[in-house]
Amino acid sequence: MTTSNSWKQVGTNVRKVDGMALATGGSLFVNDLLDPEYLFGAILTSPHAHARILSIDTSEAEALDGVHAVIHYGNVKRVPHTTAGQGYPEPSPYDTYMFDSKVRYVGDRVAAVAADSEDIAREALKLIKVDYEVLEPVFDAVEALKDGAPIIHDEEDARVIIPVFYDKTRNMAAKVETSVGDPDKGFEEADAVVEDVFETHYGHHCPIEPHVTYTKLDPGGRLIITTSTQVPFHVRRIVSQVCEIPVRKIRVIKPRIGGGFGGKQEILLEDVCSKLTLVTGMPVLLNYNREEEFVSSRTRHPSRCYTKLGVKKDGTITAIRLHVVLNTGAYGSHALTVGSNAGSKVLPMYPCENIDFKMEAAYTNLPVGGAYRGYGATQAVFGMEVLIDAAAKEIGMDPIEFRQKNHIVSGQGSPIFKALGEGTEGVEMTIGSCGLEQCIELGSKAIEWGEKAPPSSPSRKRGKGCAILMQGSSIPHVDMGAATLKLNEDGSFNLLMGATDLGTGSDTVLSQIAAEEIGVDVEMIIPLSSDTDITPFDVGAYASSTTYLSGMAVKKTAALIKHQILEAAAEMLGSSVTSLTIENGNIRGGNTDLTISDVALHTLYSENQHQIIASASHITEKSPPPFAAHFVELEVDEDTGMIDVQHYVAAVDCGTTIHPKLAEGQTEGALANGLSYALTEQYIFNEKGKMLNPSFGHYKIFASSDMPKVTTIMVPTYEATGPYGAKSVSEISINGALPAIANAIYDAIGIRITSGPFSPDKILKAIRDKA
Amino acid sequence: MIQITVNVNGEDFDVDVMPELTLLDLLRELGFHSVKKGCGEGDCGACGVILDGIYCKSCLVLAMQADGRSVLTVESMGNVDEPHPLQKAFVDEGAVQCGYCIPSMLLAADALLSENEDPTDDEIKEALDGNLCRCTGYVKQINAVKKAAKVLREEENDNE
Amino acid sequence: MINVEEYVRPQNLAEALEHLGDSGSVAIAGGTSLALSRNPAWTKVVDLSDIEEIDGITEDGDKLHLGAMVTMSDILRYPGNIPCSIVAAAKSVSSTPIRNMATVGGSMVRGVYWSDLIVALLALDAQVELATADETRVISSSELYATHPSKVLKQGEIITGVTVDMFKFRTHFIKLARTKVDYAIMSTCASIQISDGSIEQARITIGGAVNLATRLVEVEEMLAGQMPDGELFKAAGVKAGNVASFRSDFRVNSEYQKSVTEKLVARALENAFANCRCDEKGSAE
Repeated sequence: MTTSNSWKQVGTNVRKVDGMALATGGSLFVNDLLDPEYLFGAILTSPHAHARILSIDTSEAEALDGVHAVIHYGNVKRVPHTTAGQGYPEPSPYDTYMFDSKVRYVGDRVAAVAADSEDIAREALKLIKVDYEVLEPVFDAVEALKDGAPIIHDEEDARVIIPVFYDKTRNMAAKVETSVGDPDKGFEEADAVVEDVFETHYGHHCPIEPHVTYTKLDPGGRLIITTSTQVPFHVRRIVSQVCEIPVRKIRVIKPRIGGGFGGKQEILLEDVCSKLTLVTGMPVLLNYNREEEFVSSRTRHPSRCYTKLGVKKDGTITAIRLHVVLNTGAYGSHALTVGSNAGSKVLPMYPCENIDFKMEAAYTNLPVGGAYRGYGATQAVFGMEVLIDAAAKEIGMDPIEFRQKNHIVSGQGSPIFKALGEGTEGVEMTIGSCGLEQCIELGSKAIEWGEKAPPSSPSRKRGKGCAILMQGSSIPHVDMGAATLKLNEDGSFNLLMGATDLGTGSDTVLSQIAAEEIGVDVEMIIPLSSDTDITPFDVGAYASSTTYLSGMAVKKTAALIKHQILEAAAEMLGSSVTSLTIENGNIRGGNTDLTISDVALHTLYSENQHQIIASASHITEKSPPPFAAHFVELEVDEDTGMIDVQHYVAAVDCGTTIHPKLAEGQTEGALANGLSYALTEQYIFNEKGKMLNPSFGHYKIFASSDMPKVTTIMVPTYEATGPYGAKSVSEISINGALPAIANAIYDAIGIRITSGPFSPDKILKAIRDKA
Repeated sequence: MIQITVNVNGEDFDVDVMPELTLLDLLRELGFHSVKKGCGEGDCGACGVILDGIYCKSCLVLAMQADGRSVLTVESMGNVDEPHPLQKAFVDEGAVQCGYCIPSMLLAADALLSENEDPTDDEIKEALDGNLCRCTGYVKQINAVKKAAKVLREEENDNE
Repeated sequence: MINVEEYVRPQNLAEALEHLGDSGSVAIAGGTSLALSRNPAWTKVVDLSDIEEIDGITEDGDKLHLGAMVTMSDILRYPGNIPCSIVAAAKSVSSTPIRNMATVGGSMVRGVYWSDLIVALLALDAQVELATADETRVISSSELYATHPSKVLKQGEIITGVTVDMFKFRTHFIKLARTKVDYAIMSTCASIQISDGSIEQARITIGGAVNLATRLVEVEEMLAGQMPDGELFKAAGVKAGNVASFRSDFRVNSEYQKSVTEKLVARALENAFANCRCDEKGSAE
């Protein structure tokens, strides 16, 4: 293993490769890359939560001047598929159709048009006459699973394509059960048992760039899809499936992406936009406006988590029970895997002999769940970390001490890792690097744990709380990433990656890895991600996999191309490969002033001519968790129920930080999202299932002025299976705010809040009810 | 159609506009792609421009309101070879993640520094409060504005 | 905006009022709301942004005059005396780019439920200057908001400015919202005039939780002539919660609106009595 001391690129804050182009306003996003002439697409959505379409009359819309196409279930082939951008065969059910004769939530697709202008397209939507038979809806996940509930997927063709539980006749999109030891006995042996029902709410990713897709045909008739996606290769596969055109006829280009957070791990616009282009033969732009983004894209699955812990007086945890009911909305996108992760990314934290886990995902007539940073862990860790505090209190132990005593450490495994995979069985795994102890130590010091300053005004009470967290890094034995490196005359390299930079900085991080491995400056790496015609395959940017998985693919590729360079250099010098190495672009070993550029020129133009180029793929054997300890200090105003978070501390072990500032940025961005999710973000529905607040005006994400003091602490560890010791960092820190704030509220006012968000009316009511 | 003349980054454009066309849409049609649409409702702030010296949201301004006025977008601040100290600081401090909100936020920061050469954290937070960013948590941007302010103060001192 | 055929930007008030006398004319003051409107009745847009006569902040003795085109940011930048409740209200309006655009006149004439500025102006007995091409008149802010400005303003009439007493009241404004850049869930302003140790008169207003900013006259009457103290303010808060007619709000229920009205009216009174100084920049909750 190389040590951090000798690294020249890894561990440094090199300039983000696309940073200056972005900061100077370059034309880099889908909307900046359009042809002079194109059509605007628009989608008609359902006003009803549950209805059958008896008839649809598009004649007036089609007659409107400037309208080029109207598509709907009557003229588009029905292909069951999932919108989830996951590896094939997908673990999400095939329960979605480009258009169906049934609508299942307010915002569901009914029809789409392509027209000369956006105004005409929107006007045409109004002219489409749809006759609905309104059906009884069901909005509550638990109600939906009961006998006699309206059946949301009563169509024959909805199905799963892998052997997993699926029962659409009971609105059950997914179900997983696993048990370890004897949980009932474990609870009997406990000195204290704590339990509660915890509810997590809808949330939206809120990328500042909404979903947008632009499709056109090249002169040869191939379909070119430029799209804001995290999963270009899954887009290609699923568009091929739904539009019934071969993969070879499709090229997907991912330019710069204005944020994804999981929301763009979904094929939402690409199929419709492609179809409109195929029907009209013309370029089509299709985007969601902000309202459509909230209602019709994907959300965080709301959950109800029945959580129970048994503990002994000495602090031993004797049993854990976690039953999760997930509301997947109208379609089962990511239901099984988010639900499984609720267990697999939470339960291993506290090794325990008796564990009982059950997850059921229910269809309802509400917006659709999907992948969202945190991915199940956000939901389940809320109740778990609140109950850890409650259990500690029951036995009179400080919650930090209780966590230190019980949390997983390096060398330990968990039967849960094997039991819960993502659609398949998981893999056995023991923890390699674990900096949790230090995270807790440094974090509690930063928040001054145990000290309590007086509140800033008489109506306020002050409190502190904490939570410890884990996530994963990639999906082992499922995800695959690949990279290609190609040498140019000047000693630079094209780094072609399927790995998808969606704004995270992965192009930079992966360039650093390539540069480090080869022995050149990062400026010599020209990254390109992603273009399905040019770059090799990668599953895409999700599951906290890019640095860990794709990073290893890049590292392997770099090692291969380095070897090719040294072979050529050895031939030029008449020496042996093993005697040579590369430093800062120069060939070292023996008396030589040869540079990589010399080798490139030689091999391209002079002797033994060939292109020095290498590719490699990587799959992971394990999914090493990053760890974190989050701390919060806040005040509760007992007059208004307002929570004023004053200091937030995130101490994170992500292994090696390849780019420290980007790793901190991932942490700060995730915790900021977690904060407003816990406090102010909320879907408000009317009694008919219509979202009442689909705008940034009323769905409140934090602005700069809402941010508390933030302390970010990166705790370095070395994960032997990752590139230069790196694990993942992007998701974990979104999970801490819900439990840490809930624990701090309890510390302040002695009330346990068991559902999010911690809105002022909810807090005030809880204060009143207690009094 | 209403005929207007608008000056963008020093160049005059004579255009006929529909009355409901926003300044945001006009600027994008003219090729100023740094001006982004994130909501079109005045909430996200990705469309900020400086209109006659005032930082505002171009989705709330009608194109015809810009008749005879001058508009500055981030393209006026600097380019890849010669970036403005704010652009350099934003990139170097890790304040640019996806970058969608950044051009507008840079203009907001520039407007702040033109009035206040040494702003506090709270003043920076207030000046950037119209620019929603979902990637960063704003921490790095606050650092970047402070860093750029320092560079600009030093440049000013050098010039004196 | 869809049927607009003409856009004018007059350089003086008389010219502007002339244009506004035409049917189908609409004035743009700050423009934070107009661009999104698709009202088909409008055929002419009259942009007021170049009219210096209705811009600027001026002091005249103990009177402060705010021109209609003064923006929220202008108020925050003004170096002279302004009642701190007006400053606090201006500061709590949305975000910087909106504060740069939103004007006193535009905010007043729109009369939206979440308006912060109106709550502060009403509690200072602001006098509102109105003008048409034919006449000018001054009415009290109470009169302007007795129903809605759209019902009070005549055809072609605009607000040209507003005047308040700078030192008559001790005053305090509080806004309650989910985030800093948010519409008020509830806002209140308390102004009290103290004379010989007792409250000579009071102005209590609330916004956000009601359809339009309003004075709570019953509460004002209850306070008049009383000796100020915490108990009185508490009782005034309770009364405010009882007399206000809350709007239905999908964000919070009326029980919450009532609770916070009780507490925050009392708090505003406490803070106003603690002699909110004009150099204090005020606070939003």
